[in-house]
Amino acid sequence: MKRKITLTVNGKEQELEIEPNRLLLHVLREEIGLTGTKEGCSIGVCGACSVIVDGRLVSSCLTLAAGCEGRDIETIEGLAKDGNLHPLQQAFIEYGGFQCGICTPGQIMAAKALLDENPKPTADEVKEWMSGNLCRCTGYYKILESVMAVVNNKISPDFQFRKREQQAKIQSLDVYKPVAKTD
Amino acid sequence: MVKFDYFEPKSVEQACAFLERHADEAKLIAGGTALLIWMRMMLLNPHVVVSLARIPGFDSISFDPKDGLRIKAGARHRDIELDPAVREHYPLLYETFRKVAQPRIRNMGTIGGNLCQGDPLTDPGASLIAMDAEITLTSSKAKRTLPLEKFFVDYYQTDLRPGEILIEIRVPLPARPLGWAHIKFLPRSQEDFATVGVALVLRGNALGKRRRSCAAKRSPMIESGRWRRWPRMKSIPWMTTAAPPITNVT
Repeated sequence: MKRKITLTVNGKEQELEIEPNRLLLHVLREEIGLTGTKEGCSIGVCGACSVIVDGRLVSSCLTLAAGCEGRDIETIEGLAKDGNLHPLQQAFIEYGGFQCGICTPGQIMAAKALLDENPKPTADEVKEWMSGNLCRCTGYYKILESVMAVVNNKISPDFQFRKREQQAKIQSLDVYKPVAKTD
Repeated sequence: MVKFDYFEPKSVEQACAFLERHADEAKLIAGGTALLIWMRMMLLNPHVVVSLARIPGFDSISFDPKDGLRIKAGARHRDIELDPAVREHYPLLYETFRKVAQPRIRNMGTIGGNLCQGDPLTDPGASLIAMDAEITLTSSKAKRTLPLEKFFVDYYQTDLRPGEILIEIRVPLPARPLGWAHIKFLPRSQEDFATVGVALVLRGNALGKRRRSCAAKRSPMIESGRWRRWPRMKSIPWMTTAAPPITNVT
């Protein structure tokens, strides 16, 4: 039997009529059309479907939408405000925090939940917290770097200087130096 | 997942009434981290799902020096981890709950759900038994309290009777000085299920000068894991040298 529920998604009220067996993940993606939240493992391990419900980070693949009646849900789509990216989104771009990108919405939501709770975590705290978000491209160091950049306030919309810095760093590596000829 | 009817009772009594009315075809849901996986895999196909998430006060944690710690079954793992009384008086529980899965799952999964699922791979059971926890179960007819150790029967089997709901876990205040340790072997990564987990508590005069050797012989020890089914209280028959060092004494 279908139920009427009201969800507040990214500050906007959504009235829906759904079967009780629908998961929050599928309702967000298929009913509301917010496809930023991804489905990965479907058993709460990978973290690709992470969203924030009433201030708590949860796996939307293991949350019944009917149980979210009246609750406040934040997804990746709600982070950018007035055309400006959220600092975390900015940092992930600047510091190359993603490769294929499928885990990224979950990674950013997890990082946001951490920073909401503790704005100045240490690198170890970030690692521990983010241990539930898997990246199969294995870009973990870049993700950590991105989150720490926000913690240490090292992001800037104009990040060209960092590109130059990176280029210089790459060129300074031994591998790019001409190899001495051996007779 | 099959289609089901969904109820959100506002009190434990109401929840008991739903359970009684729907008997075998109903399942309780709290955090959902275990039940929904099984339902998505079609291992469980209940026609009625009764959510305990909206019962006021069902997630509360209270501490009284005489009475000990009372954790309502709907408390999430992370609530217990962050509770100041748990951190101060029950360091073993703090250490255990801090390491259950990862924060997102701790935010969702409840202690009542964890215990009633009867999964021997999870951590809280062993540590709660080591701390002499007792649980209170209620149905529309009767209420009973039993030591947590007696609750676990076998893999995924508990002493939970039809129509019963676990409502509270009480952990008495341990005598000081208290020595404790919780270790687990993880096959892959930090958030993985443990292959083996050990919770160990040494109490009072067992913690003498020869803390390591004599204490380990006298104290109860818990083991849990795939190869030993359920946590069982037992005295350590080990050689004294095999006892792990107790580094935490509070």
